[in-house]
Amino acid sequence: MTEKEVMVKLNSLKSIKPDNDWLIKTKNMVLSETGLAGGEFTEKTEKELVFSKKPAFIFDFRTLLRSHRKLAYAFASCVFVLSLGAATINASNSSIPGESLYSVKIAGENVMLAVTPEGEKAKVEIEYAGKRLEELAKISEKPSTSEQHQKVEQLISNYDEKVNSAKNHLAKINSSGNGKKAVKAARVINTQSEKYAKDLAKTTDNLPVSIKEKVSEKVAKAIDSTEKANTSSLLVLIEQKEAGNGDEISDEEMADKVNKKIDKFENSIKTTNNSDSATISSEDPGILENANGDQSINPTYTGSTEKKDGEVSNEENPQSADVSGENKPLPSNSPTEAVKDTVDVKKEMVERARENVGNNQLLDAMKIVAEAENMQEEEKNKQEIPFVPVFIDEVEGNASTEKPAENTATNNRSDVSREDVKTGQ
Amino acid sequence: MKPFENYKIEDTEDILKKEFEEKREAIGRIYDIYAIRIFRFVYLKTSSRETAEDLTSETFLRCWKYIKDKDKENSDGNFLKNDEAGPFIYRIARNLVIDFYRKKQFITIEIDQEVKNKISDENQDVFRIISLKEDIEEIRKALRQINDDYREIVILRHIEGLNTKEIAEITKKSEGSVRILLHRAMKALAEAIEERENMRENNKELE
Repeated sequence: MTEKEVMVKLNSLKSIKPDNDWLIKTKNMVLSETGLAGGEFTEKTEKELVFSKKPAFIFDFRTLLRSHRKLAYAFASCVFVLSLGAATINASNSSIPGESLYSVKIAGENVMLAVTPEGEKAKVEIEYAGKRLEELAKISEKPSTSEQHQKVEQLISNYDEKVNSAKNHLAKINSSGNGKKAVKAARVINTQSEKYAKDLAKTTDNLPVSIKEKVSEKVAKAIDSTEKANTSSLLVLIEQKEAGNGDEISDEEMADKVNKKIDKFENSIKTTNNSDSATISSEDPGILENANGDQSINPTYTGSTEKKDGEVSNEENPQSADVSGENKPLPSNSPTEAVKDTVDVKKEMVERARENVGNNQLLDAMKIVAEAENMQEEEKNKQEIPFVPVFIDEVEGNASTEKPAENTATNNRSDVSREDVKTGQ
Repeated sequence: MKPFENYKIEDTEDILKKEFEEKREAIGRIYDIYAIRIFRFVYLKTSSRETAEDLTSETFLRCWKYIKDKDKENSDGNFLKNDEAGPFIYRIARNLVIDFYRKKQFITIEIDQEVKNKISDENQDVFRIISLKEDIEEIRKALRQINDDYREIVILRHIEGLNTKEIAEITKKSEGSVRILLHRAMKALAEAIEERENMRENNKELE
């Protein structure tokens, strides 16, 4: 036994800790000793327990929050229940932003999350994401006000957050080595994310037009997050199945899911040269030259533009307006070509993925899809930088008529790019 | 600083109050930093959680007493110099343990079986209780087998992570002694561990 080995063993003793409750109680006791007049301190022998004196219980919540966050939340939840009563907590369940009970609801959720063990966090987060969507649906039925716009935005952001959080927690569970838990969580995320993608598209479609336009970007992002979470869940499921943990899902079912995902992705690549491009082209002849009915007008999408069940999300509009803003002043076809290239690349990836599925290489197939999704995200991120075209000098009298109001896809970015175009001349 | 005439009685109260607040804050901070450490230190020395709890709270109460009566002497306005607080607290705890053994008014309850919650890998730090898993128990028992001075020094050095200088301050020994003691202590501990392992193997054979 070398000294080093001994040291290693000794290390394990570092985990010895006192009872947390006792720790806090004692701190309060010590502090209350200080709070008494002049802080009287009487010498005590070991026999006389310190607690024989009953000082006032000063509950130092702030310090508690700092050092023992989860315990603080646990205490808070007790206080909540005690002061409000369980009935209130339940009543708050159906509340939406704007109602007074809503904060209770959210606080309750945070407490719940704080005390949920890591292995269950993913499920809880995705559940809460669903709640945000429910609230969104309820809010969208209300008459349109400026407040409503704020709340809608807030809800969509929160939803996005929760979905991403769920995805991250899933990754953690997956890497923690607990295969069965990972599978459970992944299944939940898988089914829910599919449901949410549809719900989100439907709900946002029902929004009053004015609000719809303003939140379109956020909605697009939210749909992306949902799809990515879905992809992650599929990856985890396949991985775990290959490791022997996913027996609840049959091989056919798994392959079926992957195929569906590939199809969805393929639909999203398919650019929509439908009504959108028609609107654009009617306003700006410049586009038609480049377009030639070329699908590359709308090379990048924001979400699945045509889902299998025929839902068309309205996020594609801002994108196409965007792109048109970019493409307009360009006389040369190079960006359009570049854009076309990525479309081809993605199509190729789809094919490869399908092949893999055919060879029962589901993991590889899914990885390709994930890669392709990331590619799309990157493209979109590039687009978000207002593009000030360099070639503008050569273009005269282009994009002169600004008709932002008519273009249903009015989105700040597209306006910006058009402005740039204008001033650049 | 206001000229003397402009001070009111209320001002004095404020100053006193402020100082008092600072002292309260100080003890609070010290507690936050050292409570768990002192507990662990005492527990490893006494093998009784109850004793450890009692002595730990006693330690901080005494520390408060010291701070309460102390005027701010240091330049940085603290009641204890920055490097003083640690050894100071440990000294108090250590002395309390010595007194404790001298008076022998204790009930030793080996709390081996007390596992309220498993320390799962799911980060349950809300309910972190001592989990006396087998190997922790083993090393702890081995630690008990070596003599007190050896044990103390091993605890301070390798579990609490104090350096020779700090240990010297706490134990009122010279740094040289500390080093020699440490060396011997580790040897003794290693022997104790091996001895226990051999015993366990022999017992297994007998089964």
